[in-house]
Amino acid sequence: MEMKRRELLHSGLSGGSFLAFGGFSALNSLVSASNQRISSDEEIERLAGKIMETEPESVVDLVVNELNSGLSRQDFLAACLNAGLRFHGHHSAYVAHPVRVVSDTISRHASLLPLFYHLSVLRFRAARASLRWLDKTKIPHPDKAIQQFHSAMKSGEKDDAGLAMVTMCRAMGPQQAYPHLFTYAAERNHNSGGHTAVSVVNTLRTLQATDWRCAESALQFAVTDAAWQLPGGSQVHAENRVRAERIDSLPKSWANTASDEGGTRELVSLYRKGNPVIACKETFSLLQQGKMRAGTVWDAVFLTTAEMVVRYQFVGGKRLAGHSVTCVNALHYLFRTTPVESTRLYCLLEAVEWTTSFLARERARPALREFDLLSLESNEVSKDKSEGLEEIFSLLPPRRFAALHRPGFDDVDLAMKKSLAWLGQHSDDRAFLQRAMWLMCIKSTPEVHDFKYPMALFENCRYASAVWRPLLLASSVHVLHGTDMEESAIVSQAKERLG
Amino acid sequence: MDEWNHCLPAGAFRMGFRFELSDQITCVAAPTILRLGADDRTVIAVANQKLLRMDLQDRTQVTLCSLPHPASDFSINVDHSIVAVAAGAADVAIYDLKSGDHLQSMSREGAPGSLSQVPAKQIAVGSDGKMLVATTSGSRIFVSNMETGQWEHIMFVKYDGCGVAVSPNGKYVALFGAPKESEISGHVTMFLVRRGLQPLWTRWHDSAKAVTSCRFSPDSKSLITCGAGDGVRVWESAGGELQWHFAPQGKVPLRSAWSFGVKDSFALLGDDLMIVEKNKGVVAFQVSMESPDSKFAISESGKVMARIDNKRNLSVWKLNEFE
Repeated sequence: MEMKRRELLHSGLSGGSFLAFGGFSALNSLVSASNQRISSDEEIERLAGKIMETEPESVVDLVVNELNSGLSRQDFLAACLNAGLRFHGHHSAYVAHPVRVVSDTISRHASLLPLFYHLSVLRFRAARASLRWLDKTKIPHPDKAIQQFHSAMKSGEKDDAGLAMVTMCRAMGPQQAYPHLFTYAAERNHNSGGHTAVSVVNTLRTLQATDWRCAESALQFAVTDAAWQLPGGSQVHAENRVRAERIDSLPKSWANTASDEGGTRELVSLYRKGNPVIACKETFSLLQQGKMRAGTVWDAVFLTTAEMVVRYQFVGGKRLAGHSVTCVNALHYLFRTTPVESTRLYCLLEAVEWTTSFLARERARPALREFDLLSLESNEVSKDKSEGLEEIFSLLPPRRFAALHRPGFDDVDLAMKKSLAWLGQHSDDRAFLQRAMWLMCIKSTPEVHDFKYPMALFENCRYASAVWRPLLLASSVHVLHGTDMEESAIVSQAKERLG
Repeated sequence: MDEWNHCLPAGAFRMGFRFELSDQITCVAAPTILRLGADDRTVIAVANQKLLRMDLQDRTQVTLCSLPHPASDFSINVDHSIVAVAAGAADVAIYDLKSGDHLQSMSREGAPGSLSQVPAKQIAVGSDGKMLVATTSGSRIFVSNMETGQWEHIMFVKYDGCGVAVSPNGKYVALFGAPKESEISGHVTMFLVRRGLQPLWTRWHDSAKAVTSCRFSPDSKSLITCGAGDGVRVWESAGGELQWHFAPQGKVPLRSAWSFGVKDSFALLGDDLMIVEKNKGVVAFQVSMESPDSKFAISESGKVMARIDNKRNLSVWKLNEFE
C-alpha cells in the first residue's frame, strides 16, 4: 500500500512542486551540510521559546504585547504548535488542530481565546525536550530516502525514518512527503490508542493553516509517533490491505457519500458486536456487491463511536472512549483527501477495524454502560433559542481536570435529550455550536481532550448524513463543558486583557 | 504539674490565654491515634487494634470494638455518632460510636481499574456527617457519601497526600503532601466542595521541609499550616492569600498549629506549647511537652488539647483566660 514513487510524482506534478525542483538532478544538491538542528522558522521558534521561558503568571501579558505589536493569529498558532512539538510532544501538539478550528469557527470577537487555551496547556506542565536530535551525518541521499523511509517504518527505526523524511521534505516539499505516512497512520493505532492517525493528521492540518512553517519539525514528530507504533498482533489490517488492493473489484461509485438509513442501522448493529474480523469482511463484501456505499459506512462508524462516548461509564476524566471519535475523525480526513483510491478504501476499512476493536476492548474493561443512541428520544426544552441552550448547558456537571465522577448520567442524558429537541426545533445548529465552543474556550481544563473530543465529534457531524446530525450533535454534551464549570484562569486573564 | 511561663514585658499586665492542665487519666491501652470530639469531652482512640471511647467528664473508658486491621487514620463526625476508620483495606469502615457496631464499609465498587484496591491513608469526615474524604497512595483523593456507602468523586492530584482536613462549615477541603518529584511534603492545596472538589489554590508552605499539619480556624475562613522547618502560615481559605507567617526563634519543628477562636491568636505545638499573637509573637509558652513520640489531639474548637504519653497517661489541657 505504500505510495508508489510514480503515484507520488504524479500527485506532485499536479501541484507543480516537483517541476520547481527541476527534476531528480536538483534533488542531490539539497542534501544539507548545515547544522544538526532540523531547520525551522526562526521567528516562530523565538516566540515558542519565550512562551516556555516566561513565568506562567506573565505569559498572557507577553503574548498580548506581541499581539499588540503585530503578531498574527497564524503566527501565534504556529508558535504554539512549535512549542508543543519541541517542549511537550504528543497532546500538546495534537491539540493545535482543534484549537485552530475553534479559532476559525467561533465568533470573531473570541477567535483568539482558543489560542490562549493552548497556552494554558503548554504552561501547565514543566517543559521537557521532546523532539529528538538527529545525526546529520546519517541524512540519506534523496535517491534512497523513500526506500529508507519505508524500510525504517517497517522495522520501527524511528531515527532512520525521521532522517529519511527530512530528506523527502526538503527534496519534494512537505505536502508531497506527508502522504507517505498515510497508510501507517491508518493501521498503527491499536497500541497508540488511536493517536497515530491523530498525530499525522492534526499536525498536517495545522501546517496547512500556518503556511507550512515548521514543517520539518512536525514531520519528524509525526514520523516518530508512527514509526515505533508497529501494527501489533491483530492481522485484520493485513487482511484490509489485501482487500484494498482489490479496489478494482468494487463498483466505481463505492466511495459515494450518499447514505442509506436502513443500511446504516444494520451496520451499527454489526459494529456493536465488537468483532473487527467479521465487521471488516462484511463491510467490504457489502461495498463490493454495491449494496452499500462509503457514506453509509462512515455514518455507521460515526454513530458507533459517538455512542461509545455516551456509553462511557464515568463522568469526567479523560473519557478514554472519546479516542474512538478522534481516530475515526482523522481517518475520515485521510479518506476524503488522499488521491490514491486504494488508500481511501484502506482508511475506510481501518476505521471499521478501529471502531470495532476499540469497542470490544472498552467493553471488556468494563467501561461501557448499556445505551442505544439510535433510540434516543427528545425531552421538552424551551422554544426560545437562548433559553433552550441555557437549559441544556446548565444541566452539565463540572468536568474537572483529572477527576472522575460516579456514573450518574441523569443530568447529562437529560441535556442530551433536550439538545435533540432543541435541534429539532431550530433548523440552524450554529447557535448550539457557538455556545458549545464559547464554553469550551473559557471553561476547558489543561486536559486537552476537552478540545479534542468535541471538535472531532463536530466535524464528524458535518460529514455525516443530515438524518443523523441531530443525534451526533446531541451526543456531544457528554464531552462538553456546561455553565456550572469554573473558568480557566489563563483564558479569563486573556479575556480581560483583550477587552 | 506543668508550669506556665508568661513572657510579658516587664511591669505589664493584660488579658491573655493559656492552656491549663485540667485532668489526667490512665488509659487502658496506649493509643496510636487520638481524636477529640467537638463537645470537648469525648476522646476517641485506637489502641492495639481496638477502638476506645473516653469521656473526660465522667472519666469513663469503653472499648467499643476490635478492628480487623491496624488503622492508619480515623475521623469522627460532629455529633460523635459515628467514626470512619481507614484500616488497611481498600474500604473505610464506619462504626457506631455508642455501640461499636460496624455499620458499613465504604465501597470502591465501580472505580476504574486498580483504584478499587488502593488503601486509604488519611481520612476526614465532613461537618454534614455525609461526606468522607480519603487520601490514598498514588495521588488520589476519594470523596464518598457515607449514607450510600459509595464513592462519588475521584480526584487525581499532583502529589501523594499526607494529611487532609475538612473545614467546620463543610465548604473547603485542604490537603498537604509531597510532589512526586520531591520527597518534601511541602505543598498545600485547597478545594471548594462543589459537586465534587473544585481546586482553588496550591501553595508551598515550605520548599525544604515537610508540612506536619493543616487545620481550619473554627470560622473556616483561614487555614493554618505548620511544618518541620518554617514555622506557621495562615492562609485565607477562599483565595489562598498569605495572611501571616511566623517562625519561632530557632526554627523549631512544629507538630501542629491551630486557632482557638480568638482573633489573631494561635497555639503552636512543637516540643513546647506556645501561644502566639500576630502583632506580638510568642506571648506565652509552656516549656517541654515531654516525649516527642507522644500522641496528641486538638478539639475542633481549639480550646482543648489532649496528649497521651508512652506510659498510657492521658493529659488534658483546657484553654483559660487569665488576667
